[in-house]
Amino acid sequence: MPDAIGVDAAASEDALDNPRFLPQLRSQMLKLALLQLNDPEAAEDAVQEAFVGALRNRASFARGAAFRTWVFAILRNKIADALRARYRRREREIAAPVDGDAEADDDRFNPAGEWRPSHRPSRWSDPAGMTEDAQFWRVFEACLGRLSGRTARVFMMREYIGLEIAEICAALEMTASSVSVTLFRARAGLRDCLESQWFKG
Amino acid sequence: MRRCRDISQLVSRSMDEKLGIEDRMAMRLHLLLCRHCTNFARQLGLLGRLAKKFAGSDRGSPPA
Repeated sequence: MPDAIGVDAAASEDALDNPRFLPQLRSQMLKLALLQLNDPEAAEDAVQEAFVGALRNRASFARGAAFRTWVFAILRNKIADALRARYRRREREIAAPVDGDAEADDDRFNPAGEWRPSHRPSRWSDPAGMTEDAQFWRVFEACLGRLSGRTARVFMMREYIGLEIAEICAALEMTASSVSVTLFRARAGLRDCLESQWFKG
Repeated sequence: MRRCRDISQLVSRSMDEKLGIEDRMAMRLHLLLCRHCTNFARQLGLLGRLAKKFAGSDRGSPPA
């Protein structure tokens, strides 16, 4: 369970004094940067710069958890900068397979285009309180993991890094409609998974 | 009259781009009448907030 260590370290008041905290944090950051940038060197750079930026203000972090939040916020900006620079240069990077239109055979809907009874989104109880539950985040991570790598990557580029559609198109050499289809697939897939694994589990 | 399949896709697109007036009106009208799509729309908004919280939080680690 890759997040178990992070939870322990961050829960402790003096996580920054734990010799394992920073190496673990670093490897988690690298994982995220690598997923987004798909370039080990650029990912190392982004993580390095985020660390330097955050450690400059180390005195203002009483707890490891606050440091972690801060360093990830910086990392997010570094990744966005790197992706945007790529967009400006129109760097041709990975020849990406174009996602087809999967919606034609989306089995959430009947032929008339209405929700099938088994797939109707139901009301979720206490969607705010669950974010305090460590078990919920394990389910969330597992549900993200069920998406294809590419679908998860596009979702995180949009929702976590905050890139615009045009920027994702350029970074991954996808058409706008293909990005939209992929985002729909990611969101609907995550939603289905959370509903079945958490809200009805 | 557009069905839930089209509306759910519009809901997703509306989170990424500004919809045209026709799509926007169709979506709003449908959401007034359909609780399944209303749940869907609300939950998609929540997913975005969860994604932000997830990767930088002290709970989860970034997805592999």
